[in-house]
Amino acid sequence: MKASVLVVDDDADIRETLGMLLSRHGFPVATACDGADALAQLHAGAQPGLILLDLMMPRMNGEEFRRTQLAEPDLARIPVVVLSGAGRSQDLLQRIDKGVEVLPKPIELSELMDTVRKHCAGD
Amino acid sequence: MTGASIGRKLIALTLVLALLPILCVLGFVAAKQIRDLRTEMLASSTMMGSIVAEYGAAALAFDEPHSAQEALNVLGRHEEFRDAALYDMRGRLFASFQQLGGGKSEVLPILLDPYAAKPRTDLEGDRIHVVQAVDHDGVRFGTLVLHTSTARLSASVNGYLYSLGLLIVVILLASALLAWALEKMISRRLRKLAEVAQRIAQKEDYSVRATDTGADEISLLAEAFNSMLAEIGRRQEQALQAVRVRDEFLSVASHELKTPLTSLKLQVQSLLEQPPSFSDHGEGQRMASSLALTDRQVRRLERLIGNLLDVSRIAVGRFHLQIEDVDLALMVRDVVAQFSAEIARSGTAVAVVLPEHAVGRWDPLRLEQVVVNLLSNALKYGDAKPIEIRVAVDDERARLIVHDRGVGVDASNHARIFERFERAVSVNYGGLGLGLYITRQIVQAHGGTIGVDSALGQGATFTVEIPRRRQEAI
Repeated sequence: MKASVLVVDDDADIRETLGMLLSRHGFPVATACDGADALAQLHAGAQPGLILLDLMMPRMNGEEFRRTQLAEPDLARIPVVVLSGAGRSQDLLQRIDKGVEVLPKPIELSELMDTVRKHCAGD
Repeated sequence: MTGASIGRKLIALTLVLALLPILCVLGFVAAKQIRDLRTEMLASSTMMGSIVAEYGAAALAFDEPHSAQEALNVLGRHEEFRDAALYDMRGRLFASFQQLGGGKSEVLPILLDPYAAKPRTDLEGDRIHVVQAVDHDGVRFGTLVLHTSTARLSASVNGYLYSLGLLIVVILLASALLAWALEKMISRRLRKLAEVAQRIAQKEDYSVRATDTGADEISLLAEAFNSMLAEIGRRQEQALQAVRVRDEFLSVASHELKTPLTSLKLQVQSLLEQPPSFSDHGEGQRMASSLALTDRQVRRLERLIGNLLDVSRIAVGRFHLQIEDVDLALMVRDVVAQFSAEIARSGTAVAVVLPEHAVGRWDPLRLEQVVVNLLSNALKYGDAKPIEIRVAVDDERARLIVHDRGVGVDASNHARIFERFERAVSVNYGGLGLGLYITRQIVQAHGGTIGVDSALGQGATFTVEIPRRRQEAI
């Protein structure tokens, strides 16, 4: 069974597009509209195989989410791939968090699917 | 001279000012005194010659060299008479006088041509040469030659020269003192000011200030200099701030443009990778929703680029309205309908309160932009809470009110949100920060006003008022 993907992005169209593409490739998808929403879903028991994380979001941005996630041992092991359109905040995150993977926007479909398959291919 | 330091110029100026009049006056007085003395000496020599000649005439007439000698000896009482000689008509020396210690005698043993010796008084080198005819009642008996020393005259000249020299030395000293004081009062302070300017130019540190505690023009200059520095510092801060705003804007703009581009690209690549078959109903639906999403992204990109173009149009002052009859009530209804999908997706309730008609002379495309911007802001920052849109008209004006119950704007940011590239909330909300700027420009171009009533966390009410008929010269 394939592991699920949590898409965290404040842009509804991105959530819809990624949700549509990933589920068509057989990956269960959950979406969150910002870091706080994602954190709430994780605390409620969601166990995604991968988190696709946008950086610029209201309430709790990607960087804050990542910091909170790393501080909680249960959540820290979930791999995160950052989807970012702004060079600066992406550089900033990579400087503090060397383990994070980045897919720069606009994303290539093939790269996206390779990344998701790598983390969520299942058995 | 223009290349010399101010200190040197001041010294030169002081010297010229002090020396010139004193030298002129002193020179004039000395010249007059010396000339007077000379005239007086010539006169007294001539007079003495006349007196001696008077006595000499009797002595010559009676051939009494002894009494002639006595008459000449009278001259010994005055040091300035060097020598004197009395000759008879044959040119022989009759009697002579030589001042004691008077140096070399010029008394000639014989006068070569007694008749040719014309009476005269001349200044010759260091002596006055007097030739006097010795006669009585028109009968000539001989000739008197008298030499007077001009030592008194040259002593007087030397005295003047000496005091002149002394005066020059004193003036030079005084000038040097004055120049030193001036240098301290002016030159040194100017140099300190220049050093500050140089230090600033080298280190680009505009916090440095000139210190001058005086109360004259140089202090004024230092003050002006300091306020210029403060101004430069302020402008530099402004320039740096502008660069920061620009950099942030570029970062935000690239994020904003890439977001719809991401959806667009993924949809198109997905369709290319697995073209849907049209016979299958489910695939047809996939195609339809993909195209709808694609269309939405294209519109978003169009709107973003349109906003960027509007801002550059406003910046170069090319922002013209196409005025026609427009019904604002109808327009609001249309815009809300256009946004129905977004409204539904955000889960927001939008209440609309409209009069039947709200017709005015406006630019329909621009006014629609105002409605769209205010509504999309309300949706974006409205926290999914109910939104109200209200239109009201009276004879003069139309009023559009958009009220949300979302994140709100702190009072300190009310003015800022209408500026270019500015947002009250964090950069995380996305958007170019151009919407309200463009909105305000459009409202103002219509001769109207826009205002906001809001507090942080308390929602926001934007109120637009525009005249129904356009006033002239806007």
